Amino acid sequence: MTNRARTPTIGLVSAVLAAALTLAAMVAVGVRFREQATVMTPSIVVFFVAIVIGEMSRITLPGSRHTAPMATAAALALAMTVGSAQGASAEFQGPTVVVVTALAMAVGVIPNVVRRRRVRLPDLAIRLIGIAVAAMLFREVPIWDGHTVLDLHDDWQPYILALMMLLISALALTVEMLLMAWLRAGRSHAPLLRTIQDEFRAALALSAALGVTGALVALAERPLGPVAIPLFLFPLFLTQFAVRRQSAIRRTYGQTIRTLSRLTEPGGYTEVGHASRVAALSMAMGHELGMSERDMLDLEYAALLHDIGQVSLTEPIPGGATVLAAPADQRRIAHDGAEIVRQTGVLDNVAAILEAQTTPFRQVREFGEVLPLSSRIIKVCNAFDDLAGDSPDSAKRDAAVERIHLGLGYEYDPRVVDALVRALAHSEK
Amino acid sequence: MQYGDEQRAHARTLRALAAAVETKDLYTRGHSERVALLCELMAGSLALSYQETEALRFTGMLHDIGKLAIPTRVLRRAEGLSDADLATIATHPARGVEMVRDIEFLRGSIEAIRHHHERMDGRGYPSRLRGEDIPLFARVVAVADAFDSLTTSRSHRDANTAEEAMAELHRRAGAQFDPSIVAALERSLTRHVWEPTRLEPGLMATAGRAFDHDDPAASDLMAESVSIESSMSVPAGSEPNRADPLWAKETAP
Repeated sequence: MTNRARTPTIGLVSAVLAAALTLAAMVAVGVRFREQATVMTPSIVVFFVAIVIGEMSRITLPGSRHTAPMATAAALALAMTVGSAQGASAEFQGPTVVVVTALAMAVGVIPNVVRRRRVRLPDLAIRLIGIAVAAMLFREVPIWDGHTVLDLHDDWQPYILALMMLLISALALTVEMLLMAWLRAGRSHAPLLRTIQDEFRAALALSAALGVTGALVALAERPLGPVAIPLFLFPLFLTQFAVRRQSAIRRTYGQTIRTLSRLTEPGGYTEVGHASRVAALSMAMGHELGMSERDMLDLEYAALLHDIGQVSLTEPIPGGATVLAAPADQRRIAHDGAEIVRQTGVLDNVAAILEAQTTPFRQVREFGEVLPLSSRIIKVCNAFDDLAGDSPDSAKRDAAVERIHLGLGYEYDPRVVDALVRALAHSEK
Repeated sequence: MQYGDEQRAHARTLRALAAAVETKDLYTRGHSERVALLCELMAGSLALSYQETEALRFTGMLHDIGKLAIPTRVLRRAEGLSDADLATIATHPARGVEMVRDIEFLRGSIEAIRHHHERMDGRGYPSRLRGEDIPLFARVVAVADAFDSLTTSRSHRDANTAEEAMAELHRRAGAQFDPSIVAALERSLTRHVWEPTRLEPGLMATAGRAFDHDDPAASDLMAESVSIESSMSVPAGSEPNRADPLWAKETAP
C-alpha cells in the first residue's frame, strides 16, 4: 500500500523539517548574537504577542482546515519588516524571524492543548515553513549583486518595495498551500492534483487577504512604529468572527442532516448506524475517485439521507436492506426520498443523486444515460453495508464484496467497485 | 450564502423532513404545518420575542416527529386499539425527543416536544406533569394540536367550525388545557380567520376511522388507560436527562 505509507511520511517530513529549521535558526541567532548584538526592538515583542493571540484564536474553515489568520499575517509582517524610522532599525535576520514565530506558535498552541482542541503538528509545521520561506526570501537570499531585499529597499521607490513584499507573501503562501494539499492527499488517499485544486479553492481568498495584510503591516510599521501592528491586524481579527459564525452555521446544518438521517432508525426501517456507515464509506471512495470537495459535500448529504424514502413505507423492509428489495420497490423508495429532499428547496443536487441511486450501471452503457458518480458510489456502498453491516468479520466483508463483484458492469460501475476495494483495504490497515 | 439565507435554508430543511412524517399517517397531512401556524399566531397574543416565536414554531412543526418510530399499522388501525397499542402511541413524544435532541437549533423545543400531551390535571403523558410544571411551549402546542384536530374533517364527522372548537377547548380548560393559553388562542382568532380543514373524500375513505391521538376525546381515553401509566414509568424514568451542558458535546469540532 504505497498510498498508506504516504500518510505519516509527509506529516513527519514537514514536522522534522520545521523542527530542524527552528533548531538551525536558533543556532544561527546564537552565533550572530555574538558577532553583533541583535537589538530586541519593541516591535518584535508586539509581533510575538500578535502571533500568540492569533494562534490562540485559531479558526476552522470548511473541510476541517485549521488556520490562524492573524498569526500568519503577523508572522509574514515580521518576516518582511524593515525597521521603524524612530531610531531602532530592524537589524535582525531571517533566523530570528523563524525562532520568534516558532516560539510564539508554541506558546499560542498551549491553550488549545489545555482545552483539548485538536492540534495537528504537521499543519503547524507547514505554516512555520511558509513563514520561513518569506523570511529567507526577504532577508537572506541575495537577489541582486549579492544584496538581499532588506539591503536594497532603501534605494527603491516605495511602490517597488510594496510589490516585492506582495510577491514574497504570495510565494510563501503558495508553498504553504501546496504542502497542505500534499498532506491532505496523503490523509484522504485523494489524487494530488485534486487536493491542490481544492486547497486553492478553499484557501485562496483568505490567503490573498493574509498576504496583503502582512505586507501592509510591514510597510506601516516603518512610519508608525509598533502601534501599526495591532492597528492593521484588527480588521482581520474582526473578520475571524464572521468566518467563525459562517462555519458554525455550516456545522449546525451538517449536524441537522446527520440527525435526520437517523430518523428511520427508531422505527426499525433501517439498521442503527447504517446511514452514517454508508456516508463514511462513500466519502472514502469519493476521495479515491478524486472528487472535488464541493461534490463530496453533496455526496455526504445524499449518502446520509439515502434511505429517507423508507419513512413512507407501511411496513419496514427486514433489516432495512434495500439491496434485497424488489427493483420496483427500490426505485419507489429512492423516488420518495428524492421528493422529500427536494422539498427543502436547497438540496436539489442531493435530490438528483438520490433519484438515480438505484439505477443499474448498464443503463449508462446500453442507453447512454447520464448517472451522477455520487449515485453510483451510494449504490455500491449501500449494497456493501446491507450485506456486511457493521460486522468486523473479514469473511463476511469478503463475501459482500464478492457478491457485489457478481453484479459488476451490470448493476455496479466497475471503477467504483475498484474504489470500494481500495477504500476497504485502507480502512483495514 | 448570506447568514439569513443559511438560516432559512435550515428552517426549510427541517420543515420538509417534518412533512415526511405525514406520509405515514394520512390524517395528519398538513397538520404539522397548521399547528406551527397556530403556534405562531398564539405567540403574538402571548407577547413572545422573535427567538421564542421561532422556537415555538419549530416545536409545533416537529411535535409529532416521534410518530416515525411508531409502526404504521398501529397508526392506521381503524378500530379496536388494544391498551398495548395505546401505550405504543403514547411513546411518540419521547421517541421524537430521541430523534431531534442532537440538533442544537432545536434546543428550545425539546422539552415542549416531550411534554406536548401533558394535561393540566396531571393525567397526561409521558410524565403526568401538572399545571405550571408543564413547559409553556408544551401547553401552547397542546391547545394548537387539539384545535387543529377538531377543525379537521374526519370520516365520521364534519370539521368543527372554529367557534365550536373553541367551545370544546373552553369546556376542557383547567382539566386538560391551560385556560390562559386557550384565552390566548381566542384572542388570536379575533385577528385571524381560521378556515376548517376539509380533507378530500378519497383520502378520508382510505384513512377510515383511524385513531386520532390528537382528538381531545383520545386524551381522555389515554388518560384512563392503565397500560400507558405502567409502560410510561419505565421510559420516563430511564430517559437520560439531557441537561444543557451535554449539548456542548456535539459542538466541539
